[in-house]
Amino acid sequence: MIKAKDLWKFLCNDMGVRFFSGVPSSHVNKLYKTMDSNIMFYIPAANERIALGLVNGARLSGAQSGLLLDSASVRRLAFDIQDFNSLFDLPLLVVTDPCTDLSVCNLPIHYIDNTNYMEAPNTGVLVAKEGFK
Amino acid sequence: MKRFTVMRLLCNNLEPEDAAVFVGKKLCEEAYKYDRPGSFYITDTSTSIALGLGLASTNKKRIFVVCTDTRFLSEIEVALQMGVSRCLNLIVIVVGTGDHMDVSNHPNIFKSIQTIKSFLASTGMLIQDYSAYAKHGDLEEGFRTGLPPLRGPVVVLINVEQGVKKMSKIAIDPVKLATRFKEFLNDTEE
Repeated sequence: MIKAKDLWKFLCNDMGVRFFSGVPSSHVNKLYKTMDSNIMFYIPAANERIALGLVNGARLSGAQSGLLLDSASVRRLAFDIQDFNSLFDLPLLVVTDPCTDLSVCNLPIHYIDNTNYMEAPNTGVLVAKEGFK
Repeated sequence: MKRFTVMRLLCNNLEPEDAAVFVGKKLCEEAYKYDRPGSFYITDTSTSIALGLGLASTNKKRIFVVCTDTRFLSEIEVALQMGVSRCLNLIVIVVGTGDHMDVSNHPNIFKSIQTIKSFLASTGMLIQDYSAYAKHGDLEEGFRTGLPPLRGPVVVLINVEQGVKKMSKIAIDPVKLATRFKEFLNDTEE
């Protein structure tokens, strides 16, 4: 399991991703509980599509941004992500849990755990293999 | 006044520093005739208006999102998010006839909603209705005097007459378009 606080430090301080949006979910609850407003900016979205739009808009503006969603939402959004991000070649970072199979989504998936999360790329879907603690 | 005329007047009256996101295939083609570095065209995606909100949240330039009433209805939930965002630089322009002009005039429910202005106002957005300007042919004057001081989050409603003009297709590669738009947004020299 990945320590949620350590993952935030890595994403915000080391990777420079400071703008996040997402929809609350119990699967990524640990990440919500350990957010630190000193190092990041989070906009709670009304639904997943809005969260994706916010994050893509931030990317276009030049801000490093990421989506924080449960894996079921990522699966639902997969078409929209491919539709927009592939068309405009806009990178996207998603942090999610392993509860839903994302292999059918045709998105670049990187499984991370406590040992390898420091090597994670700053684009694609980061799936915490064993969840967060 | 028809929609392509509104696009011409709008594009000609935007400030050089204003960014504009046009949403919808035909509407984009109409706006593309008056292409400018700050224009971005999204022909078909379901997260387009929210994209404008993301841009406005992370950029100081004024962001105009221009869409049809049909598209606005399909993303109506984003109005709630825009209202609470209090982004002063977010301006949404909804151009419509009450039906889907681009698809054989299929009707939509925009004009059937009894209190659309009240609904939008209750989300926290400001409302401006330029339909009378368009009806009486004074829209250019309305844009000239109304657009420069406009601050959001605001929805500008413009009812237009039916009728589309066949325009040339968007000739910019999407990746190049995104790059151009990024450069425009990050160019902060004033």
